[in-house]
Amino acid sequence: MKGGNAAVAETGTAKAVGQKAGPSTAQGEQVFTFPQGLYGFRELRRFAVLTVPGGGDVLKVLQSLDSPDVAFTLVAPNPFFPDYQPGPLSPEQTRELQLDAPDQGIWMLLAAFPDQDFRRATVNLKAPLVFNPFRRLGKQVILEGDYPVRQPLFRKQEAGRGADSQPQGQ
Amino acid sequence: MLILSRKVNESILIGDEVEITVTQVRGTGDQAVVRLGIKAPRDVVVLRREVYDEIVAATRQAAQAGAAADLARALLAGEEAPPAPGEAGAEEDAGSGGSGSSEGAG
Repeated sequence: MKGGNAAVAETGTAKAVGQKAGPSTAQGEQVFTFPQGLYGFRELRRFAVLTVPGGGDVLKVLQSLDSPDVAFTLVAPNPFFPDYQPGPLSPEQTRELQLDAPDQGIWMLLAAFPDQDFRRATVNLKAPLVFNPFRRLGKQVILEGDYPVRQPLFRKQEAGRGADSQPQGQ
Repeated sequence: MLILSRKVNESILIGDEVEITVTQVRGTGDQAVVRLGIKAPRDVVVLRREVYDEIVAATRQAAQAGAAADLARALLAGEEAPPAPGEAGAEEDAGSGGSGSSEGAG
């Protein structure tokens, strides 16, 4: 008899990240542990998932609690890339995240902003993050297959790939 | 760095579970290409070095959430790629500061 398996009903949406996750701080932050850190940030283990005004479930900020200067923008893949199917996780990854099933993780993408310009935002489809919002665990996963590391978030960018050096406006 | 010589079809073991076999050698000198077969448990991440480096670089580049608020505003406005580049100084709160922005007008 496993009681209270509420997780099952909530899977598959970005909603759960940072919302259903146990205790929170005074600011409503949800604290997640990344046991292995992120690539390039192995030493950073504790992160708060912060809401962004207007960001809803699509946009979150992942703020390091170990290094205040480090914060990531998280983007839910589904609204932008409906065909993107990262899962399911391997048995080892499922165990590491303490998920009940390999398809229960919540996926989020890391966004980057060249020159701090959100219109040029790119997301990393090759190495997304996966969360267990109930155990408050997270992991960066490198997917097999040919996914772009810097996929433009907005379609208009795709045409002008070579025009990076051209300053726009003025 | 440990350096070993292996012939085609010879292999090395790393721990009990990772085995790397030389399957083919083509060309010589700078043009030489070695094909390797790798056996490893599924939880061992096997990557070409340059792929790993690229992921580290992209993750480091992502480690600044500065434009998140701008992006949220744009998504909220339903625009795909809004025009009018913002001034460099006005990033955090300003937005399109029209007239008064007093909150507790009472």
